[in-house]
Amino acid sequence: MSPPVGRVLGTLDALPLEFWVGVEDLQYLQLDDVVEVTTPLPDGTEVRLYGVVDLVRARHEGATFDSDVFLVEKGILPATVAHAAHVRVTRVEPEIFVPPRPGQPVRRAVGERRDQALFFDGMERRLPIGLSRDGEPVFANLDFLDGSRGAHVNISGISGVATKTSYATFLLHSLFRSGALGGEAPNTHAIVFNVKGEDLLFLDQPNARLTAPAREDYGRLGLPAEAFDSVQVLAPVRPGSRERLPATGSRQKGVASFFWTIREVVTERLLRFLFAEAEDASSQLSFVVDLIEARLVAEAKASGGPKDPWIEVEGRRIETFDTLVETLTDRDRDAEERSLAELWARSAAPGTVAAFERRLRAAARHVGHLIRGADVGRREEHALEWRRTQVSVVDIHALHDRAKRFVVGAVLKRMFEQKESLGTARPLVFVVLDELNKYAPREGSGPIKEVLLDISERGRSLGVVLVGAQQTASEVEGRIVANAALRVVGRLDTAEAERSEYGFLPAAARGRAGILKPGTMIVQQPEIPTPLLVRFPFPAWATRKTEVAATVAEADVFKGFRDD
Amino acid sequence: MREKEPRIRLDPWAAEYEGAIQIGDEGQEPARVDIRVESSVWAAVHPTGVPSSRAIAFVDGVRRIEHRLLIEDGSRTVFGLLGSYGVGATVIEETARVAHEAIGRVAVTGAGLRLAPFEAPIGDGEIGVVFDPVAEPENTPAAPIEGLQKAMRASEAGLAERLAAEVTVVFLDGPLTYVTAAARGPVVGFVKRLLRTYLDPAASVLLPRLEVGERTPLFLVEAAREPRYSWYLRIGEGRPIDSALTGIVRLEAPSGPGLDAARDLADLSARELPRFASDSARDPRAPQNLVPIGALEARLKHLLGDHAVIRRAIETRLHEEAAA
Repeated sequence: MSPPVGRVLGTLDALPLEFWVGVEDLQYLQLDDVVEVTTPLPDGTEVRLYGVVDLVRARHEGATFDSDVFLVEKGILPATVAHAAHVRVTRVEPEIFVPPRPGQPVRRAVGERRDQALFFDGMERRLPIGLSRDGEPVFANLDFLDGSRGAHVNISGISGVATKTSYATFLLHSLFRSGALGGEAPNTHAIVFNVKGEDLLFLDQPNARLTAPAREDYGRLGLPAEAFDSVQVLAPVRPGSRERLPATGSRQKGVASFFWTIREVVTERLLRFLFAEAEDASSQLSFVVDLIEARLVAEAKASGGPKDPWIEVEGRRIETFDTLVETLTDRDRDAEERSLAELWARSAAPGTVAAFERRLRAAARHVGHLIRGADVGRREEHALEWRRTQVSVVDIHALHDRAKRFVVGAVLKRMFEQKESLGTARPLVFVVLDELNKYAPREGSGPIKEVLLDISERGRSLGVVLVGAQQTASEVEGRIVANAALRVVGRLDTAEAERSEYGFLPAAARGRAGILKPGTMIVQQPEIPTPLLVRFPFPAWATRKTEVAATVAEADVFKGFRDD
Repeated sequence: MREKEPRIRLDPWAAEYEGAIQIGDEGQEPARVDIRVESSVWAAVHPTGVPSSRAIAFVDGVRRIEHRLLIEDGSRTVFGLLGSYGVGATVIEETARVAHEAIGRVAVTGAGLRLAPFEAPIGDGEIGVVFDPVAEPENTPAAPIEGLQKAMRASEAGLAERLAAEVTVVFLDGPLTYVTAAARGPVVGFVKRLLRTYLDPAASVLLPRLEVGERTPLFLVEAAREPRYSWYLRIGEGRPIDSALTGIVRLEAPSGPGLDAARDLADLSARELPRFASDSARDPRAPQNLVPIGALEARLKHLLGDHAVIRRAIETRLHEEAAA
């Protein structure tokens, strides 16, 4: 048993769920330390209380006025410095809720005791989610991530300093490599949307800047300090590229392009994702989209085979999205100057049809190149097939917002329908999506929000787990945040931290959320009654081109030019 | 057998209703004073030089009457009390710290009556307080308070004598009455209330004119027990509404070690003490009640324990006796 660090204070109320500790001379307690104290009952029972330090304070005793501090420092006024720590109780064993007796010695909880304090002892499948401040691993119960008892992760934090996507990828790494998933791990998949920047494009490349201490961190977590090994990077096809070249950013090698065929968009009813802007969320417009989709499906079935990328509409072969738009909106086709869309959506108000046409044309400008009816090559090479590798990175960062929404909606809808038809919760699919507020905003409704809500509400039983991230949880659909079993907070704006979405953070944690450093997160999970601060190691995979470890051949290019 | 045991009963007048009885520390016996021992000129002395960083100790004590007693001893009634006192020191080196705190509890009785130690258990009885018996010869209402005061003063003097071996100078609260004649260490008595005039009116004129850090020349007080060297010193300025003597203290040193030793102590006190003077914002007894002494008193009062808890323990003990 470790020596006492202090004793339960009797001058401030000790309660069953929180108490103060007077810290001994030559000892210290810091925030997040895990402590234990026993308290005797009259019948001889010993109740053990575990807790986490969430406040520490020091003050002069024997000094009354603020100015006394100067007298104390001058050596005129005698005063002693008293250190105290506030402990938030996490667990009481046995469950007899009595306050700890003032004067009882308080010790650091280490080893098994620490596991008990943080409920790690009851976790059959423990997933490492980071290191505590004292360098010990912190775990989450996998039952709450894989759907057994709960699912989904929600991460909030300011862009740039909160390192939300880094933490999401760290969680994926831990899921795949910690052994928590057992034999399931190789057959578990992740779809990662690279929404901004290029930091997710190099997941399969070792990080050249990985330091020895970071490697040790991985060791302590029981994780290999390695990059992801089964990754495909999918980038949108270049506009107008007959060769179907991907529109790559700084990553040139190993990128496949993706697009949809016109037939897929029509038969899978993906057209609706072109109308997913916030201002499109009128029921009239979605009614028109429904009507037009239904007519297009009928036209597609009547022409060509299921493998053909094109469809025919009223005898006209449609091989580009622009042709489709033209066919639907052209007013010169009959004497009454009515477009096909108007004809098909006769029951809708003419104004709504006009709005439909206007938006369809706008969408064509930004999304059109992702939908083609010719030059499709070997279709399977350009389909967004997430089962091909363990991790599929879908790079949409360079796309227009409208196109981003289309891709996210189309990918998730197809995946979710595939999972639905399988009817089992396995294989597990983790979906990493940043900027959740764009796809599932608090206000309004839309086809993408519906898909995301579906995942968040039914994904648990279908084995689809959403790892969502956003700057501010208050701007995201409440049900999506509420359904997340694991709530993670990085650096938060201090005003944002006061909102009710972060009610799980005690006051002290809210304050700290405003000063969290990159690489540090506060994690709340269902079994532990207090949020824990964790530090996660520097990524073992490159997050930008300059971090990609040079291969031996590249490193030797300059060999002849060196002095030695 | 029981009839012969003195019966201890509480004085219906609780201690806090007692009128302020001034305990004269300064004996009132006439003393001959010689103001020409240090210098033939009676004028302010201003020792120069910076205060040293040598160790200084301030010794002080506090006392509290827990309960006044009336003891029925046969046909007579004896005045008594249960009292607590605390004694300690503030030692100034690099920093100031309170040290050597000691708490004493006494059961003082008049008329030479000596009780058995009075034990009063607190709460479940795991801890308790014990009052050690002290007998005073007189049987007046003031006698028990004198006994408590003497016990505290003796304890203070003992601590001051012990500390004198460790530090440069010990400032002991009050006159040196209880310091044993044999003690030869650098102990200086610090009298903050000028209740008694030692100087004739002509010499007293100098006092209000003293500047901060200035002292009077030494004068010899030919007291009956032991002659002492004494001097007045201004340690701080009073407010305009205060008397002109506010900020003046009287100090005294034993005459045994000689005039030169006393002069050194007087100069030392003039250099050191002004920086410890308190100000009226923090202490109503400012500036005489020095900051280290004020803090020491607060600490000692705290260590006496909670008054209500101790009174309750005493009453519980007496209830049990009365019921037996």
